[in-house]
Amino acid sequence: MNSRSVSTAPTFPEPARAQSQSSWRNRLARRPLGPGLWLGLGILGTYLLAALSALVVFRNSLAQLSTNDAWVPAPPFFAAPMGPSWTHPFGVLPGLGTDLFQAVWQATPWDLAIVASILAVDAILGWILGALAGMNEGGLLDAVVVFFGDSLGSIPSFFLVVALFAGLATVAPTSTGLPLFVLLFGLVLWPTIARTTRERARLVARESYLEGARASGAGRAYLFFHHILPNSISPLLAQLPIDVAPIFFVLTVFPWFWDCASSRPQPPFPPYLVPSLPPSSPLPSVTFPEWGNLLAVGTCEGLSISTVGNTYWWMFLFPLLAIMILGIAIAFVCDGLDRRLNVRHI
Amino acid sequence: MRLALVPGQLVFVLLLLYLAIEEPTNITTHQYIGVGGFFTGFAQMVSNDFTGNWGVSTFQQYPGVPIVQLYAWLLPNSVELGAFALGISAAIAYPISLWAGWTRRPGVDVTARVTSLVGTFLPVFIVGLLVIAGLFFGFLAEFHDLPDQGVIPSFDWWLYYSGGNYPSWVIYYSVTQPTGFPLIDGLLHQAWLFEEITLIKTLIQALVISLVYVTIFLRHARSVVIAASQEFHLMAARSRGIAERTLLWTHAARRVKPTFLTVFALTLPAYLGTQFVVEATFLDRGAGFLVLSSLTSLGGGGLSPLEGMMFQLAVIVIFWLFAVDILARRIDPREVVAG
Repeated sequence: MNSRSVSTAPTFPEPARAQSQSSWRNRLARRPLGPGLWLGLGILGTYLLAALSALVVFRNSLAQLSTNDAWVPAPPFFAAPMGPSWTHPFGVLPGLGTDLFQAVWQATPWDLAIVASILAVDAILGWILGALAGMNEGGLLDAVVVFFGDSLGSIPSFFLVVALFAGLATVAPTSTGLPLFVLLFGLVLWPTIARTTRERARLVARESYLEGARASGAGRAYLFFHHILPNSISPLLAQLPIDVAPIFFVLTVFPWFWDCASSRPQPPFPPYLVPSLPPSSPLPSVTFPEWGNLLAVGTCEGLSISTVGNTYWWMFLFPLLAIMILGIAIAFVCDGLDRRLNVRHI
Repeated sequence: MRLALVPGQLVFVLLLLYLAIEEPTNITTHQYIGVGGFFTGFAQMVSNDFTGNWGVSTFQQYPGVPIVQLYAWLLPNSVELGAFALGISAAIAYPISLWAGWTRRPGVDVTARVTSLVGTFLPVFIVGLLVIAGLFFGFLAEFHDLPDQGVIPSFDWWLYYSGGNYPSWVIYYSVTQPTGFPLIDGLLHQAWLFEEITLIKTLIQALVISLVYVTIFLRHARSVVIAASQEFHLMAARSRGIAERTLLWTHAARRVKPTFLTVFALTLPAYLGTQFVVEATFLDRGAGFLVLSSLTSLGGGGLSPLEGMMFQLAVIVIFWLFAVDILARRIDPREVVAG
C-alpha cells in the first residue's frame, strides 16, 4: 500500500460523530408537527395554563373546595339542584355544596401533578428496564426484569395499588397520602411498558445496523443510549396514554362504589347525598379538589337509580370531560411523537 | 429458563400479598410477630392459601360464612357472566381489530383510534348507569323486573309472581343451587321465565363489559395488525394476485392469532376491572361485589377475602403468560428460525 492510495481512501466517521447526527433533535426535526400533535400540545398547554392560573387564583385554599351551604339541598323541600347558568357555567354539585366550574378548575393542578408524577415513574422504569432486558435477552438482567415485571403484572394494578396503600395506611396512617399513592402507582404500572419495550428492544438488538455499530467499536453503553433506547420508544408511547386510565379508574370507582353502589344508609330524598371517602382513599378529605372524586360524587348524585327519568347530567359530564380530554390529548401527543421519532414511519 | 421463573414468581406474589395484607392485619390486631416470626407467619399464610383456609367473612350480609364458601357461592355467577362477556368481546374484537388495522382508509383509522381512546377513558360504571337509565321503564313494563339488581330476577319480580317467596333453590337472594350458575340452575329446575329474564340480564351486562373492553383491546390489537400487514410474506402473496380478503382473513389472521393471545393476557387485569365494576353497577352479587367491598372495607369486610382471590388471579395470569410465550414460539415461524 503506497502513500497515494492512503491519501485518497474514503474516510468513515467515528461512531460517536456519526450518531450525533441522528440525535433526538434530528429525529424530531425529520418531520413537521402533524395536526394531531399540534392539537394534543394545544390542549395540554391549555390544561397547563388552567393549572397555573388555579395556583394563583386559589392560592389561599388550593387543597380545599369552597362550599356554600345555600347550595346544599335542605329539608323539608329539597330544592332542585342548580344547572349550568351564567353564574355557574358547569352548574352546582349539591352534595358537596360547590360550584362545579371552580371545582374542576381548582382540581387541575392536582390532577396534572398526579398524572405527570405517576407516568414519569412508570415511563422511566418501564422504558429503561424493558430496553435493558431486551438488549440482554436470555441474560441475568433480562431474567430479573421479566421475573419482577410478570410477577407484579400478574395482579391487576388497581387491586395491588389499593391493597398496598390500604396495608400501609393501616401500619403508618400518618405517613400515607397522595405522594405515597403516586409512588406506589408508578411502581405498579411499569411492567406493561417494560414487557412491550423488551419485545421491541430484542428485535432492535438483532438489527444489522447494530452489528455495524458494534463492529465500528461502539461500546455497550453507547449502543444502549444511541440505538436501543431511542428505537424502542414506540411501545412506551403506545402504552403511556393507556396508563392514564387506571389512575382515574382507582380515583373514581372506589369513592363512587363507597358512596353510591353500597348498601350504606342514604338520606331518603334523592338526589340529596352526603358524600364521604372510603377508608383507603389517598385523598385527605372529600372536599379535596380532584376530578375523579368530583366525577364519583357527580355520578352518584346525577346519574343513579334514584334519578332515573330526571338525570342531572352536568354533575358528571364536566369532570368526565376534563378526564377524557386530558387522556385523549396525551394520546395525540404520544401518537404524534411516535410518528416523528420512529424511523419505520419515515 | 422461562419455566424456572414461574415458582419464584408465585413465591414473590405471595410475599407481596403477605406484606400488603397479612402483616398489616397482624400489626393492627397487636399480634406483630417480629422478624423472627416472619417466616412462620409467611409459611402459615401460604399453607392457608393452598388449603383453602381463607378465614371467615365479616361482611354484614354474610356473617360467619367461610370465605371459601362465599367464593363458591359468588364466583359461579361471575364466571357465567365472564363466559358471555368474553364470547361477545371475542366475536366483536377479532374482526374489528383485524379490519381496522388492515384497511388504509383514513376515516376508518381515525374512527377506530378515537373510539378506542374514548372507550379507554370512559368509566364503565357510567356506561352501565346510562344503559340502566335507558332500559329502566321498558324493562319494568315488559318483565315486571328491574334491569339492575343482579342477573337473577329481583325481589320485586318474586313479589309480583309468587308473593315474595323465593323457591328453595335460590338462597341469599342471589345464589342459586345446586351448581351456582344461575342459567344452568334455571334449566335444571325448568324455570323458563326465570331463565328468560336471567339470560337477558346477563346479556345486558355482558354487552356493557364488551363495549368497553373491546375498545381497550382494539388499541393494542390494531397496532399488531398494522405491523403484520407490512410483512414481506404478505407483500409476496399480494404480488402473486391473492385477493385482499384472503390475505386478511387467512394469512394475516393466522399471523396475529398468537399475538392476540398475548394482548388478551396483558389486558386481562383491565378486563377483570371492567367486569367487577359492571357487576357492582348492576348490583350483581359476584366476585366484583366481594372485591370492591373488600377494597373499600364496605359492609364490614376487610382485605382478607382478597388474599386468596388475588393469589388465584396471579397464578392464572403467570401461567397464562408462560403458556402464551411457549405458544408464540411454537406458532411464529420467525421465532423458530431465530431459535
